[in-house]
Amino acid sequence: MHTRRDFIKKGFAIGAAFSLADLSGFFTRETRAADSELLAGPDGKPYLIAVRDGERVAMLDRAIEALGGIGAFVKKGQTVLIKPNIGWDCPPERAANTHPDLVGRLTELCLAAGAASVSVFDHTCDAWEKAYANSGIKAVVEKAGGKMVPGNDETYYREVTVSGGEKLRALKVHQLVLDSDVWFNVPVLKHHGGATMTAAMKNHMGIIWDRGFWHKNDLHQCIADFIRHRRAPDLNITDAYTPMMRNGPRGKSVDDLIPNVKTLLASRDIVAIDAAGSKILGHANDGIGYVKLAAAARLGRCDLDHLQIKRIRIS
Amino acid sequence: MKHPSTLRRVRIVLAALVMAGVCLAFLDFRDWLPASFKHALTMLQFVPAALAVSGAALAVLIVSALVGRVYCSVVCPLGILQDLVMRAANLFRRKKKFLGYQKPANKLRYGIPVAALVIVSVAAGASGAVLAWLDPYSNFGRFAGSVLRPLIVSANNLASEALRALGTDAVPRVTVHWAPPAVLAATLIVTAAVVALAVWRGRLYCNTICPVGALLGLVAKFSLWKLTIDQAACKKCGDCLRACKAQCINLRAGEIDFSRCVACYNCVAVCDEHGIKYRFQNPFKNLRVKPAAAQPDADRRQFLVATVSSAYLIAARNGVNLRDKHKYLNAVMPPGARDRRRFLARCTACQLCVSACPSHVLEPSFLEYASVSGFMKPRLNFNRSFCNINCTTCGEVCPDHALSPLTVTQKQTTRIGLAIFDHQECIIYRDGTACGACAEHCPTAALQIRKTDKFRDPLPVVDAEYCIGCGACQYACPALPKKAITISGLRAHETAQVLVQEKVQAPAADNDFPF
Repeated sequence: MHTRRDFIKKGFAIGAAFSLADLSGFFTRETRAADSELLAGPDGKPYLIAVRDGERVAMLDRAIEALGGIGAFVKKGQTVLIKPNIGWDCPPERAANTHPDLVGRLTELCLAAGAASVSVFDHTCDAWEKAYANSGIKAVVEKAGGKMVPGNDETYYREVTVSGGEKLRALKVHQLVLDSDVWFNVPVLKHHGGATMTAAMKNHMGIIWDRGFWHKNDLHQCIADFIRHRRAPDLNITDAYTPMMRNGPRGKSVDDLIPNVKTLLASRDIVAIDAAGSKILGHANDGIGYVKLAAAARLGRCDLDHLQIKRIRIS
Repeated sequence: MKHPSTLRRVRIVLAALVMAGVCLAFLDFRDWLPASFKHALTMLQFVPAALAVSGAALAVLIVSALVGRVYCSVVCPLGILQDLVMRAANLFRRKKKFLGYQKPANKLRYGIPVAALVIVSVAAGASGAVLAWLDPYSNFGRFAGSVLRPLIVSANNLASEALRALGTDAVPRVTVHWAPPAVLAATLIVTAAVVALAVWRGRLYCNTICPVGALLGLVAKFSLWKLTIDQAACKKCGDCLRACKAQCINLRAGEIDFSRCVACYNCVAVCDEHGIKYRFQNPFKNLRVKPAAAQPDADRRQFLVATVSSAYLIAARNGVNLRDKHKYLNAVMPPGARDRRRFLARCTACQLCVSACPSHVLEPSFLEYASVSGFMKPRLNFNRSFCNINCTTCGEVCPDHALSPLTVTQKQTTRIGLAIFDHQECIIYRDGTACGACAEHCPTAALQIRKTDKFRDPLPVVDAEYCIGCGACQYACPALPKKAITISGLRAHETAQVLVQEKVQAPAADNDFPF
């Protein structure tokens, strides 16, 4: 009798057999259109970078390299903001926060590129100093020469407007987002009880003051609306090393994580990177409400088949 | 000072250290100090130590039985505060105030604790209230926690503002939390009264109102070493009288009422003749030498009888687990409180847990416990914050074990309340838009957004067996003015189950890019 289990086992066996030979691209590339027909990024570089199967630091290095090196983003003397997800007072292995290795490495890269300063903050859900410390992020950032900045008080946030937003017109955004020369949006990919998924677009909820307003006024629409804000991230980097599949965004234990994904995504288009994230979590590329809304409003692309994606395997 | 006294110097240094430590414990608004430090300093305090039946209480009694009320000058922060007030008041006077000798106000002095203890024994439910109002340490704690702390935090924020204008974020802002007005008012009134008494008559508070002072005074009366005046050397110059803040030196009789002496050693330091010293005293000498004078001291006897009998009654009552009528309680008690009766009888409302709570979810209650003894005692306010599932700070700092210390594992399953969902207020039900802020914050996965037969949309569903009542859902719920999910407190804390889930399955073959 052929059970599903048998099928999966066979699938793995065949996969393992193929992995012995260099047959990379045997299945996928054929169906994919040639790169020349696909949409590249505004800088002529690939639209989306996806790296697999390396350690986080190596994957980040490869992704940045594929996008033209850190110098393409950070010029000498510029002020840099890195906004990871540090929402929770949870240790790194729970993957509720962006992994410290990634944040530490990015801080190093920026400073090596001559950044005047690298600041890191999040408007946390748990007590901020605990979250900063126990996520492991504070230690690596300070070691690398960056600084942790508080996001716990309304006085750090300034009123801005979002033109064209359907639900979201005015709100308060952290001053560092508005004042830094460069900002990197560095989320972690997770299931989310309210918004189905949290990654790059949802990570914006950590740079604003009043999250309750978004929850109250059509969460998906507000998340989509905020992309219209003029100060968009210069680069989005999603940590999908061990994505959280359930009980997100906080997670209950490491059993909520899928360990073999080991992926890192990078793109200037926040919608595209989330479309890729939603595929990793097993949704359609427009399966997340806010991704679909944002793509429909032409704020970004979720049609991954038409985008130039550079897939890198480290092994 | 005429000549330095080592005893006095040691007293001042120790008192300064204790005062600084206790203040740090209450004012540590960045949570820099470990809970163990805060506990170690405050568990020396007599009433908390006695409630926790700890060796520290016995140690205080033994020291008092040996050399008198050193506790009152060195350990009690309210006592040290009064000394500071006296010093400050004398700065404003041209001549140091002369207090002179006063007869002991024994009626009041023993009467207040007796009255208190009678109330305690008659209505064990109110015992917590009496202790909370009378314990000197807790009175100081409320002053430090509810008055000083918000002022210090405000000062921090002003400094933060100034530094930010100069372009640095070195000092982050901290949210200022004021106690509810009634608690603040009560604290200010008590503190003002203590300060006024200190300015007027030195350590009068300690020798008339304070029950710890009364008890230690009784012990000191029989202590083995007492400060006494060398009659042969004494020239009746009155320097000691001038220096005594307890008004306990009867120069005419050449005697020191050692039951009221707070062992400050000011008199030792001022005596040119070195006439005041610790000398061994047979504690029963007076009784033997002057049998006629040994009339029964009615007040003292009454005090002892009341103490012993009420201690027995409290023990008896706490042993009997009287069943409460209702399961739910309006206020949510901190983890480790176990049950309402035990908690309210033990807690002295010192506010150390409120000050130490890293989430700032604890605040002194007003009428939420619906009982006199609940006033000023900590409760969780989930509209302000929520209880971190991995945090055990309140139980670790609590000096009287009104909150039992919990391990992290125990804490994670200690149910202090239950989340109750009201779909009428829920954004998802009302507006048909996604929200899920509650599920987002739930640390036990007891609350999930799930489709049920009852409603069209997936709505929050609480699995009560896994809920620990941490309040993260209530805090996060954006529905206003009425939250869709609220925590009901429990009269007796329970143990929650842990949701056990199998390892999650990857959505598809996870060995390639899914796009």
